[in-house]
Amino acid sequence: MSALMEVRVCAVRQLTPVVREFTFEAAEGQLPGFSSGSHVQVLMPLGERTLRNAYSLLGDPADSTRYRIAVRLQDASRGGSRYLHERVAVGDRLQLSRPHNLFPLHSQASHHVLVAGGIGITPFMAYIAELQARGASFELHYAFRGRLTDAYVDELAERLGDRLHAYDSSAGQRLDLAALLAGQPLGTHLYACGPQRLLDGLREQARALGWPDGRVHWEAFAAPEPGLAFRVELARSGQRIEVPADLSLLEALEAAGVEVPNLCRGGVCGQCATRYLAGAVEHRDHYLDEAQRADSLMPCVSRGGCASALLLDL
Amino acid sequence: MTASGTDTIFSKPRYRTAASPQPARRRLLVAQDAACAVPLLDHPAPALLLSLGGELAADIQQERFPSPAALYLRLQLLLEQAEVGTRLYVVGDETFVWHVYRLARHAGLLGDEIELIKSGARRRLYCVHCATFQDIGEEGEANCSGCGVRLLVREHFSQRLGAYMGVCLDPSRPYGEDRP
Amino acid sequence: MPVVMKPLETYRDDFTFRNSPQAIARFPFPFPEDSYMYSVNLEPANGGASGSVFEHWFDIDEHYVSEMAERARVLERDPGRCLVMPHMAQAAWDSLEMLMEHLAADYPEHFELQRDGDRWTWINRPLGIEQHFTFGDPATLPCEPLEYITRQAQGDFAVLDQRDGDLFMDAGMVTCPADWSIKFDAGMSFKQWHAPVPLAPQMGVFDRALKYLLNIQVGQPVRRLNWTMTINPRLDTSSETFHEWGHERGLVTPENVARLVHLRVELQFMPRLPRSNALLFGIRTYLISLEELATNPAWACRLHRVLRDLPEVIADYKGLTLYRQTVVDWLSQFDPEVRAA
Repeated sequence: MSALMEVRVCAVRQLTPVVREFTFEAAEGQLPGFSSGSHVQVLMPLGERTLRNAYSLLGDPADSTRYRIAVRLQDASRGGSRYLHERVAVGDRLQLSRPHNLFPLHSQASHHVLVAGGIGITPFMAYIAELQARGASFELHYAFRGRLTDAYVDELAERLGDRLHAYDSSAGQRLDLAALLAGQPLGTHLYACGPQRLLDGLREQARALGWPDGRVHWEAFAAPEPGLAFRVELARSGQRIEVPADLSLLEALEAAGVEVPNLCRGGVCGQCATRYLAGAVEHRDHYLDEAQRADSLMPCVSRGGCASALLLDL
Repeated sequence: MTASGTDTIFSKPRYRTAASPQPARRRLLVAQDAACAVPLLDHPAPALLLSLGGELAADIQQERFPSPAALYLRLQLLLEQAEVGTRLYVVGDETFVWHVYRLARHAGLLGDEIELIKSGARRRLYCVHCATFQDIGEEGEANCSGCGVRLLVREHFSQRLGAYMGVCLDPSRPYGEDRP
Repeated sequence: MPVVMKPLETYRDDFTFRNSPQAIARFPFPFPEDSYMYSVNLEPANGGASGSVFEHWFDIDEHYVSEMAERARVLERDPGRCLVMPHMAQAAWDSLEMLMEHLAADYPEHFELQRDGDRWTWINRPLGIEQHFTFGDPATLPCEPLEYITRQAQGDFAVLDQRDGDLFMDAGMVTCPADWSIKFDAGMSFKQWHAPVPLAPQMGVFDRALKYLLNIQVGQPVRRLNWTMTINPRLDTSSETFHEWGHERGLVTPENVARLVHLRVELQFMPRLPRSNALLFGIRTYLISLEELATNPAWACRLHRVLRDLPEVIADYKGLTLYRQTVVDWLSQFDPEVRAA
């Protein structure tokens, strides 16, 4: 789909036992500018197939000569985070998609409350650079496990002073969502990035306290999880494709040369929604409503059943 | 507050007739005429009613102001101190409710946190030719008080200006007379 | 092929604007079929044939100097036609950077940009400008940055803030609109400012178009063509001045129709602004008289059929009702089916 960019890895840092940071520069020419909250897809050649994972750009948007991402090694990894952690070194070349922003700062906010869980800190690294450059009012609430998922915490403490509220679960510190939501002035917008249970908890608390959804912005960790192998058939071309357990439907389609427009690859943006005509679907997205799910699915995360082939309108 | 539907154009405002059941920690009521705030009382616990007059027999705190300017100033001060979780309910004619709406948006309330109930025919007209505002009623045509052009009152509405668009009714006779 | 600019022409009063044969040849005739209905005719803007209006992101043509002079006249009388809300300041600089980079790269004979960190030098030869300034510091430019650069680029520009799953017209330079008003529509959402368009909302056109525009990515702009008709080669057919030009629709006669009536085509071009995440909405307007258009008989034949069969509600919205029949009658001479009948 989108034009890919070739980059060279120019620095690698191990930030915690499970978080590794990569810095990229353009292999030739210039990298495009980006806005805070943007992500890129990183293409990883794993044997004969190519995995594409989305990662937030965490560098200062004022400097687009380099892109930075931080990757947490996932236990249930389909191979993407392990590949980056174990196989990628300074000097290597990788392909990236162009940056795209599904998690932007809100232009009408006069106070920004950032809530990060673990590796969910990454988009906020870019936010903070932007907000500090603007002289904007903000506070960061960062929940992590000390010496495991506490990437950047020392740097943030130094830069932010009392604007940083850190919660180390290994020291028994807990993020109190109700306290965080109380007493915020009218121009406040809240942004959250972290595990699904943190986001769900925040949305529920916020609603109960009279925060409309328009003030609460969130980005889920966008990565498809493996499932069982299944088969699909394409109604228009008659093509038959096997989707192995550790590949998403979108990835299997791409491997078969079928292009489907996509952005987040994590079931949130709706871009890859595809019609299906028959078969059982295990819907895993956060975008389609029940009515839409009757005839559409999002191949970036959702899967077919193993009993019979899924018939797609492609 | 924007319209949706096929019978009227999307930019034309639609108004509520009663308060929504949205949760709120604090409810502020603003009314041109306190008596018109009755539909807003069904919902739990309005904190305060600001009005320009009229009587409302209800067990809530009320403040009455001798002029719109005094009411707007008081509301502005209240909103500066307010916290997220505040909802605002406004009852009055279109000129009034959109003035309050813009003031509240400026103070940081979202459109979703403001509920407007229309009561009265007065509305604001913006002359697209000379940028003059004037108050009109339900009539569909008006003479611009600034440039004198005879205006057609369109349904196209700007929330930012709190006004309907007035555009020259007949360009062959912009001022209503025959073109020389 | 370098663009050769014509001497000063006017878009008002004596209306000396004319298209050269080269300009006619590259005119973006907007009808792919013999009939017209609203559609989401958005497509990736991946460039176009050399010399065509699609070749570069921002098209500069022989009318450049005249169009910029016309913009200056409109702004002198009505400075409010350029508007930048405070939260759009970054998007304004983004727009300036995008326009300067592309104009300098695509028309090196006319424009030049030197960058030394934040210290930039901009040279515009057709308008005789050499400006040294600090990128990001508005005090080093003679005016606000969006106004500065769009006084030097043909076409109108709206700058749209993306938030709440919608696009808001929170900045713009609009001096040659097809009967709308930036001063009134500023701050509106995508569907609010399109509200006056008939039929299309019910067809779901704006829902689909909005979804498409929200997902435009950096470096992957899209474009579409839109059209209407204008009496005289008048660029400023704004709502603001409607009381001055609207009566001209009643002046069309069989004798003057070919020279008076112009097809007005907008090449809309929408790139993502990388730093601000705003969307630039370029509206590049091309005017051609029926007489000029009929030098290509295939165009005249097709325009005849489109106008003859255009639904009345669309003709009304586009303001064609008063003179449509006169135009259709004149164009019928170019339609072989009519001649055969």
